[in-house]
Amino acid sequence: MNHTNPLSLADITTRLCLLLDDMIQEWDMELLDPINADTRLIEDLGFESVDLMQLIVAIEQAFGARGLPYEKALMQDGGYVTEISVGQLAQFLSDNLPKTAA
Amino acid sequence: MPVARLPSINLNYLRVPGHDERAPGGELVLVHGLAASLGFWPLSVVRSLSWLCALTAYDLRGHGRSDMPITGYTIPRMADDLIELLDHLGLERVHLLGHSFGGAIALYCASRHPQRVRSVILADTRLRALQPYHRLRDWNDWPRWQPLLRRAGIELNADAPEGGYALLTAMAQAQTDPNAPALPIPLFATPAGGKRRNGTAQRWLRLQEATSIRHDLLQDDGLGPAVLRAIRAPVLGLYGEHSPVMPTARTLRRLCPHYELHLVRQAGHFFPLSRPRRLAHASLRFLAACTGLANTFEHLFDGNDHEHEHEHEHEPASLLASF
Repeated sequence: MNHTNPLSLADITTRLCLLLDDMIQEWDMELLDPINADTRLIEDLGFESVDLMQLIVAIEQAFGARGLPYEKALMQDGGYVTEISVGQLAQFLSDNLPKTAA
Repeated sequence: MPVARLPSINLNYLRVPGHDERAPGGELVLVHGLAASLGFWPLSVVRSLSWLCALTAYDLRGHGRSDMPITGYTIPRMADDLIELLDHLGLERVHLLGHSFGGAIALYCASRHPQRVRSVILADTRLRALQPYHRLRDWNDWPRWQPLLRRAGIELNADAPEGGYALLTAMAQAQTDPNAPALPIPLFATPAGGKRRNGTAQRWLRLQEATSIRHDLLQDDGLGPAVLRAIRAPVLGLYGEHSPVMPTARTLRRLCPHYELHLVRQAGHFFPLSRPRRLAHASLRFLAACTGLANTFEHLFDGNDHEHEHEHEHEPASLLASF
C-alpha cells in the first residue's frame, strides 16, 4: 500500500547517498563504485558502531525527524547488525518517517 | 565526525542533540573506558538518555579517532582534556557518565572543577586508592573465565597486580591474530566484517607500544579518600554484581557524601554492553532526580525495568553478562 510520505524511496536513497558521501570524505577511502542503494555500510564503507551513531544524528538533522525506531534497522540480538545496505536503510526511513501529506 | 582542536590535543567527538531541543536535563558527556572508543556506548543507551539530555560522546586521547600523543595518559591530564573539550563546546556545567577508567576521569573533574560538574555516574569504575590491585584471582568469575580464555590461547598470571589491563591487551592480541582461536566474547566488538573491524584492538596495542600509557596508568590518580570525601556533586555508582571492581563500589559508599550505589544484577564489568537498558534506566532516574525532573519524566521508566529483566539471556550474551 502506498503511504503519503512526501519523499519517495528514490528521494530518500539519493539524500542518504549524499549524507554518506559527506561522511566518508575525510576517511580517505577508495570506492570502486559511487555510493548507491547496493552499497553495504559495513563491508563496503567500513562502518563501525560509532559511524552508525553519527549517521543517525546526520539523518535526524537532514530529514528533520527525531526519535525514529532505528534499533529496528540497526540492532540485532543486543548488538549492531552485521550488515545493512543503503537501500535497506532507505526503506526503513521510507517506512518510518512521519507520514504527513505533501 | 567533528574534531575539536584543543590547546593540548585534537579530540574526536559526536554531539547528539536531545529529543527535545531544550534538553531539560541539561548536557551529559559520555566518557568511555580504556581500549574502547565513543562507539562503546550502545545506541539504545544514547537514544534513551537523549530523552532528557543533550549528549556529547568523545574519544579519549590515544583512542578512537582522537590524537595519540606519546605522553599524557594520566587521569589528571585526561581530565584536563575533558575540561578543554567542554570549553571548546561552550558547555558550562555538565553531567558526566564514565565507564571504568572514564569514570575516574569524571570523578577527577568533579573534584577539581566542582563548578563544571553537576553530577557523576560511575559505571563500574575502579579507583586505585580504594582498590590498589586488580588481580584476576580475586575476581569471583575467574574460575569460569580462565578455561575459556585458555581455550582461546590466552594464558595470564592471575596474581599480577594489574590483571585487568593485561587481560584487555591479551584479548586485543588474540583478536588481531588471524591464526588465534576465536575469543569467547567479542570484546572489541564492531559490526562484523568491516575493513576496519580490528581497529579498536589494534589501536589499543599500538597505544601500549608507542606511548607512555603503561607507565602513566600506574601514577597517582589524585583520587585519594580525602579528595573523594570532598566531592559535593551527587554520584551514582552503577556496578555489575559480578564485577571484579566491587570493592571500589562498596568503599565509595563509606567515603562519598552524596553517593548512591545501584547494583546491576546478573552483570559484570561490561554491563553497559550486556545490560544497556539497565544502564539507561538507572542513569535516567538519577539524572531526572538531580535536575528536579523526577515527576515529569516518570513515564520514561514505568515498567521498563521488569519488562527487560531478562535482556540478552541467551548465549553468547549471557557469557558477556558475567564479564
